[in-house]
Amino acid sequence: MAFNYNQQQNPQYNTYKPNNLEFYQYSGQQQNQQYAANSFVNPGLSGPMTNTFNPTSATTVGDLTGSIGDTQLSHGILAAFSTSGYPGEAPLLEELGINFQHIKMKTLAVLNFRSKNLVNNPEILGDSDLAGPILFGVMLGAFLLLNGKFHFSYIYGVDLIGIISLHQLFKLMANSEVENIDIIKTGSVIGYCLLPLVILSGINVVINLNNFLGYILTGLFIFWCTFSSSYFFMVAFKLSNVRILIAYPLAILYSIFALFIIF
Amino acid sequence: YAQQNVSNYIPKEDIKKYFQINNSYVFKKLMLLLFPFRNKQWARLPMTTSENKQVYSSPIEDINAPDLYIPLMGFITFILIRSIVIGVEGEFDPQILSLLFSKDIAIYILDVVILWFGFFVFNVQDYKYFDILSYTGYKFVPISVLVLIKEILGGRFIFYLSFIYLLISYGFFLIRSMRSIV
Repeated sequence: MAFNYNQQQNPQYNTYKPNNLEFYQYSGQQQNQQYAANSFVNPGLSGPMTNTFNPTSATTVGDLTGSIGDTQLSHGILAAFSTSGYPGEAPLLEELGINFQHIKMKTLAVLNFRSKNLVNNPEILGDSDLAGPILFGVMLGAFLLLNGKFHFSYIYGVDLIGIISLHQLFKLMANSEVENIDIIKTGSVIGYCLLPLVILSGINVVINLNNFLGYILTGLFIFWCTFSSSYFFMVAFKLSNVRILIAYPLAILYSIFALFIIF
Repeated sequence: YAQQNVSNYIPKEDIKKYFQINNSYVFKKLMLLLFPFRNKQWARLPMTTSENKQVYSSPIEDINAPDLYIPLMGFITFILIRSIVIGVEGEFDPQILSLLFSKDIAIYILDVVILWFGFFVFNVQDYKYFDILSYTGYKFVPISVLVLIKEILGGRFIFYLSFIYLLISYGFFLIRSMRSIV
């Protein structure tokens, strides 16, 4: 589209060349780059932009025309529909930071109470990744939807407020030798330990839990969630003797989620 | 300009020392709130440092020190227990959570303002802002216990009895604790 515009405008500008436009001569790469930024509506005023306008000369002007220039992308209609990009580009999952091995290991650690894998590899615990928690949140919402309750925004809101306030609380309660705890790490741990509640909402689809037996089962699941998440926080924050104090706010947060599930 | 005026209103004390707690402190403090009559010593212990200023110990060492963990947890527990009660009756809606939250925050702030105004009237100089927050926040513990008793035990006589008892014990606790301030 820019090509046609240029070719149309060119005949007019060729005849009309006022004297003060001599100032815009091609005199250096920087000026030309800046000129190329707003250049496509001013054809014919500097050297490379006159009658000989074609794609290859556009690539010599500046970096902006990389998308039009065809130096690195592959050609052809098959390549346009495929997923190959620039050479030397990292694969998509690695760029996004989603590591399936870590997600699986952390999920298994929550399910099995056996977190020896995690303690031995501290970089897995420190791998602050929110993909698992977001997945669990969406699964929780999906199971609730199967129950007829459309509470996605409430789950997200309660989760967010809970993570922010719990992070502030734990930062206040931590002693000063511990290094700075990130809010993303807190959010990650809390989100992974939401998994038993997702299982509970899955059970709620088939069996109605709004009776006394259901309350007991819910209590057990909440206890499971807080047990695993308080263990993770104890390891991460290196606090001692405050396990019940950490577990109590976590239990409250998971109880609010359980309220959504049951009632 | 805005910086100076805003920082006039932000409290300057270190809030972290109100959260230096452990399990046994919380347990003993809760017992103290519900049954304060056996306790003999209510004065706060000063910290054994060589400074000139009067600095009190942290809650780990001293059971009479105020903290902010119990009020915060009591507040949220109060909202949660009421939501559970409403849910068992069958009318739970997630918006109730935010309604209860804003109502309780308003009552809490009102209580703090009344107490602060009382300090101002009686010309008490030497109090800390977070101490007031802490002492007024302890009321959520007896209130939560009361809601639980009303829900689980259910009779009117038991409810009134426990109400009067918790009122007396909480009043006793507050008077004895704040004697050093007023």
